Amino acid sequence: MNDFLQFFSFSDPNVRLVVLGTALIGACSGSIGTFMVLTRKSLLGDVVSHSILPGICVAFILYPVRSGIHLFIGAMVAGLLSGIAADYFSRKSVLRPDALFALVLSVFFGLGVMLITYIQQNYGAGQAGLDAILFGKAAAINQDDLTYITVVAAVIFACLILFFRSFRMITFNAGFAQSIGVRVRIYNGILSSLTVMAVAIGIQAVGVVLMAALLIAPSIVSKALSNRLWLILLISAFVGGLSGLLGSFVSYTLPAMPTGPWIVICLSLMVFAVLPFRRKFGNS
Amino acid sequence: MNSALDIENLSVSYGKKIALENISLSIPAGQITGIIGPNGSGKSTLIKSAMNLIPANSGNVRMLGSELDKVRKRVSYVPQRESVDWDYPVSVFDVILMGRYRPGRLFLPLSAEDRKIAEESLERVQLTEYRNTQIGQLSGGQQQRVFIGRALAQRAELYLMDEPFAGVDAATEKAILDLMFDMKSQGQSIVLIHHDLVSVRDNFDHLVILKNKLIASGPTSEVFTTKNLIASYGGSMRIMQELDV
Repeated sequence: MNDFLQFFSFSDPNVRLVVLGTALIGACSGSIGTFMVLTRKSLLGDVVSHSILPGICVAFILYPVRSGIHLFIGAMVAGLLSGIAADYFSRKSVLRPDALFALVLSVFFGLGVMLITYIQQNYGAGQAGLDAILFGKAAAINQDDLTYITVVAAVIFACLILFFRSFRMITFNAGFAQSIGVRVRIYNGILSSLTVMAVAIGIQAVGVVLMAALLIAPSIVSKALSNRLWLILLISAFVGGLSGLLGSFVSYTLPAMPTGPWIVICLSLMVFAVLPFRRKFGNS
Repeated sequence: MNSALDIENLSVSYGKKIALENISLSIPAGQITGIIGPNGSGKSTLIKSAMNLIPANSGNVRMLGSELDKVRKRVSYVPQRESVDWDYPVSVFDVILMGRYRPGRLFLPLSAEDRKIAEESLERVQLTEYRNTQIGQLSGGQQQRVFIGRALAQRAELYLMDEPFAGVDAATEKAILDLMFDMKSQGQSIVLIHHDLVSVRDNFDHLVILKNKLIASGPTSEVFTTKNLIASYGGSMRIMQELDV
């Protein structure tokens, strides 16, 4: 009870950083991930998040400082590259998309693990903690991290509001959108970039391995509770944010408990909790 | 006579597979035109490449006498019903409202006039009572009417419809046909892909018969012949005999 009061008074500045950071991350990936689930491209979230690893490693090798905007840029570049590769090959190859996605994921992730091993052996103490991006380390979110998490979150929410109709039209019926002259490829590019941005900030909290859950699980909850897109997006953002808060709370209260995995476990519990309602309010 | 759609030397291929080979045809305005041919004969490809949704290897397309980009507002495309995910969380009225969207004004609220036109379209396809229903809860025929309602909301002059009668019940087929005759009487041009040969003669003024090449294009009374159908459908003679063409 004492822990509860202490945590929710948010008097500890470190608690404030972690809670705000993970809640914003959860809200971003929950809302933007909804479009992945709706277009049945959930696996792509996994591809992008695993593929970010080599990008961060290369950024670190170029500029060996353990936190900062350069890692974010490296993550963005690698994430977008993997998305483009997955998209390009699934159009050009005879392989089925799921096989291709798994292949792209493995190649990028393998490269990332190779690079991170190289870094660990050659960069001494300066790299300590970089491997946290594998499983996330929310407790390490500092003021600088929170600043760019907030900026990215603001960009994502602003785009979701501004492009709501465009995103809905291209994800529901791209052919029709194109027929009235909507630049479908540009909006798809914006949507993919926003997704990669959400992943790039999200791996701070949950790491590359669990990131897909943060993209996908919130919209499973919201789709069970509604069949209106704007409400689904709102609920997804709320559920993602709430899971960040709860995960932080558990890892604060219980000693030596990791935040990221607890965020994912809280999300899973919410998914189970709403499953009985899915025919009543939603349609999934 | 004015033409609704002019196609010159259009060729489209998917990889090495040739879908359309050197198609040239002209479809008259103010009429109902059917496009027929067996599966894989390039019917959908013809409409999609005319709408610039898939790239053509060569060819020139003019709609209502102009390039597509200049007359986009006056042309409506109705995709195949199976081309979208009907579980998508969107209501009947939301989809019909999409007919009023304009690319440059996607960020602005729709006007009262736009909403009124969408309401009228909803009524014309007899879906008023399903206004707020999620589209996945509808029957196949109702879903098809949602798409046609969206097309009506576009207030176009030329409508290109990809299999509007696929998977619909007899009552809906009749309702859609009545709507099309109504649209025709208002001077609009309708081009649609069709599957059922039995109803061709009664409903279409003009007919295009495809088999990756152009078999025939002309008034239904002239081109709906056994010879042309065999050229398109091959040895399915039994169908021809039943049709008694």
